[in-house]
Amino acid sequence: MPKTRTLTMTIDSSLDNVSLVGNAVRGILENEPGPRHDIPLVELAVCEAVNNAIIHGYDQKEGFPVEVSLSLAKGKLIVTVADRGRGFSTFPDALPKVPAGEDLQNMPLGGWGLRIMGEVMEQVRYSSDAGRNELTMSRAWA
Amino acid sequence: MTVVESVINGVTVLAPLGTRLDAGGCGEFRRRLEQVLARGQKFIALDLGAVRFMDSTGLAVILSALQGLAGEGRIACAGAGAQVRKLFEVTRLDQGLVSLYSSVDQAVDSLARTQGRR
Repeated sequence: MPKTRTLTMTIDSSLDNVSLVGNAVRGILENEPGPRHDIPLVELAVCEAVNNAIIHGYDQKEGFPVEVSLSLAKGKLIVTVADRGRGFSTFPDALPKVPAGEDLQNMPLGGWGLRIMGEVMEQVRYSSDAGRNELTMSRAWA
Repeated sequence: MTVVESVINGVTVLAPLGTRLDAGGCGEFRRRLEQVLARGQKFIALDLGAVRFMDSTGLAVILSALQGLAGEGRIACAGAGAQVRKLFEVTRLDQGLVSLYSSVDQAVDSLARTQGRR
């Protein structure tokens, strides 16, 4: 039975560091079996989650850890983004949908990160315990 | 990030030269686009040929500019790479709000024609 393989990386909470995570995720997935055409979307979803941790969790203050864990097992990709900043007061049971696209004036300028995660990944979960916030995203990857 | 501005056939072209239009690096792009809009330019081509990665913050800059135009102009994106195209696809902004072109010339031609009809 194939075992789970996991890489965990930690960056400092600077938006300048988000590209490090994106490049690592892309590099890993480019060298693993899976839907190559979706790699840019997974990179995007992970970067959005890291952005959220830095912007909303840490108010863009540097000097705090953002931990990203990527696991591949049994045809599944699981990415967890964890921080110790301010968590979601309530996390939506269902992520907001991407709007239809024609109504420009009512098109939101914010909240796209969660929308993108919901479109790209099959499951997005959030938990907070003892000051550690975890956003876990998963989807098939084979 | 350096953003190069030029005018081709009466169309303003903005070319961000950085590889990332994201939360950490699109401030100058936002500022330059806002400047162009403030001067009353309504037909703007964005040369995204150098951009390898764009996130929702970069997207929001473009959406905000479109909302500022309020239907009185157009923004066309040229030379978007695979990741940027995927972003427009997954957010469905390629379904009418943002026009994508392979080259700056094509984007400028289309904008110039629309501009000429007004």
